[in-house]
Amino acid sequence: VTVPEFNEDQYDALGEICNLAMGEAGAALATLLDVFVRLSVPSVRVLSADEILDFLCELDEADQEVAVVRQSFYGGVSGEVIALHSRGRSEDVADLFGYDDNSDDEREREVLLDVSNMLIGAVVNGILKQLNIEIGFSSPSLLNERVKLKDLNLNRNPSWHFVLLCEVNFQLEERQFAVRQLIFLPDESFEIIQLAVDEFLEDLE
Amino acid sequence: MAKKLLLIDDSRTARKLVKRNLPPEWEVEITEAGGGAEAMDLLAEQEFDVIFLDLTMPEVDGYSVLTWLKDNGKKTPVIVVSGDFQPKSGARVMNLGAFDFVKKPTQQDKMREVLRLAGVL
Repeated sequence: VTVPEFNEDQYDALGEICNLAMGEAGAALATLLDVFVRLSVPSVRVLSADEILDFLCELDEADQEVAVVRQSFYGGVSGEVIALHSRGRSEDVADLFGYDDNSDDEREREVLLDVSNMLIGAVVNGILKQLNIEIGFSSPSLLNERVKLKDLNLNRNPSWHFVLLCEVNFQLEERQFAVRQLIFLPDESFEIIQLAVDEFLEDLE
Repeated sequence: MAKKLLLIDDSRTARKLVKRNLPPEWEVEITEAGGGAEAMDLLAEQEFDVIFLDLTMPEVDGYSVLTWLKDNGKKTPVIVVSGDFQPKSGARVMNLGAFDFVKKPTQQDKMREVLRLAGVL
């Protein structure tokens, strides 16, 4: 399978586009929780489908248990997002989101889904709106509540040969709560993304 | 006489976006730095009239540049231009001595207003 390469300008533009979308999402989270959110420098790269699991196993939290939420999007382009929630003390999460830690695993699951839904919606919409691409979302699902990344079974779509991976991280200061958001755009979307990025860049000239 | 601007952002696209929205009447000579370390080298050697500074950069971020400027007694007005516009970011950069904070993507009218307040337009 031949995959069109992204050039340096396209990677750079996608990085800045992700940065702006992450900023919007981070501000929404910071306002919601009245906290300071540390934002990462976004990373954008192409991986072969076979490299995805190796990539996950090399992340900082590879040896920790994480909660994994998955959400798909479709429309002008399709793809999916995996949100990795580092598992801090559950009472910290309970305190942040204002529920009783002792009572309620179900409530914690709801919080993970709600936070993922908000952040994924803000970031993915933020990215694709800048590229004039309209999408819709499926409901998020909790893939695993506690799993080490090497044991994660993503049930990858077999039609994916390569993915464009956009990665952004949110870490709450002084709280044990962090989310790594991995946005996968499969090769069938590459041409649309490249054309849209080129148009975005042409507008700057 | 043209003002000397140091534009610090790790993204070429971001630097283009900022330059596109500068007031066209502003006479300016722009020096670009692709990161905090490069910016600090330039600032150690040259004087600028105004600095535009991104916050989220690899290795040496905008907060570190502001701290360095403060520690080295540099008084050049710094306008933070960032996509990270959460309220506590704004408060932090102002505490570190930034002159103002402008949200990305920049708007020409806002840039004009801030440059006038900084006394460079």
